[in-house]
Amino acid sequence: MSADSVPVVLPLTDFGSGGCQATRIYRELRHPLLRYVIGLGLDRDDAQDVVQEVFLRLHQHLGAGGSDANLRSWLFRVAHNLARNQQQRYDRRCEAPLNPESDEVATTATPESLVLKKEQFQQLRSGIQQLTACERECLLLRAEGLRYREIGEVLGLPTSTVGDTVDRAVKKLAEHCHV
Amino acid sequence: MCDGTQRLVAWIDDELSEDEAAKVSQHVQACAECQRRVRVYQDVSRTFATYCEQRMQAATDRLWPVALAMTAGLAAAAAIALFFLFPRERIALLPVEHPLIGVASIPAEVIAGPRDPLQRRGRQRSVARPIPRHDIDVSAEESPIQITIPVDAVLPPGAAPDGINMFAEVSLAADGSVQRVTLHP
Repeated sequence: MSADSVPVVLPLTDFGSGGCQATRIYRELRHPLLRYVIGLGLDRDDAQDVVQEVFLRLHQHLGAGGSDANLRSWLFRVAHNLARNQQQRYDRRCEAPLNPESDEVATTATPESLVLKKEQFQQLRSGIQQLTACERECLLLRAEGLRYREIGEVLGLPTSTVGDTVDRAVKKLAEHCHV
Repeated sequence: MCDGTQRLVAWIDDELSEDEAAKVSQHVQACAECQRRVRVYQDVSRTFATYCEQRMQAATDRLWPVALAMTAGLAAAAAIALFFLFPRERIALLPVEHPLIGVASIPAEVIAGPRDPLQRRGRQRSVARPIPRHDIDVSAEESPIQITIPVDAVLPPGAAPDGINMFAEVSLAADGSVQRVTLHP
């Protein structure tokens, strides 16, 4: 710090009673939410906008004394609804092929043992494209660790329906990807 | 003879009741075909999770500099108002933890891969796998990020002399956290 600088500590907005909790949730769930929204088909800019909006709403929700029960479901539900608000672009991107360049980037950024081979990646992608939107969404949320009940809360489905949908989706992918 | 009606996926996900799970466990132990199906469903689930992770990495490999720039922009915009209270001095901002602008202060190691869909409630149905990590190499010795901010983008008209631009220099620590934001006219 130079001699003629004046150190200034900016007073920042207080989250209120939910401050520490919101910080913890942000750190834990920002990337899972981003991963989910990208999995729905949004590009990175739209995905980041959605996740940013999700946490702004969390801030408002907790600041207004909203319930902190089932926050994980709440966050994914808000993210899901915001992503669905871009339905037209969302549907087109689910159908569009991935950028081959992005495949190259992905394979160099992950430990070799966890990298899908390009053929495996493309085979899985074509299998995912044959799923219904609901099946895809259920699998994405399942991959983020949500229980069937939580998935049902996000998508507005009974838990039993989620179970049947997940079962069907896994079997479809298995049939598509396994010889 | 197996009729293939066992709820194997729900069993793998630990979503069955205790009684249902016990019946399926007993059946799987005795049925080679269901053991094969379990392995296939587990493999597909892991592959799907890896696929999601790779898509995420591909989409966000260029995301971090944007997030850091936005973070610095937020801090710099607030500092502009203070600058005009002290026009002859540089204002150096100390880093302050804040959840909304703390994106640059999250150490790379808290970023984890997708939760293993096969590890639920501690039941031993899956093989542990390493969680992929994003190692973000941000050297403290790199040149600070410079962001040019037109003053009229953040202050009301007439609040600052015409033609003034501000720029912020953001210096990052090795863990990606913001060390210093320095504002210059």
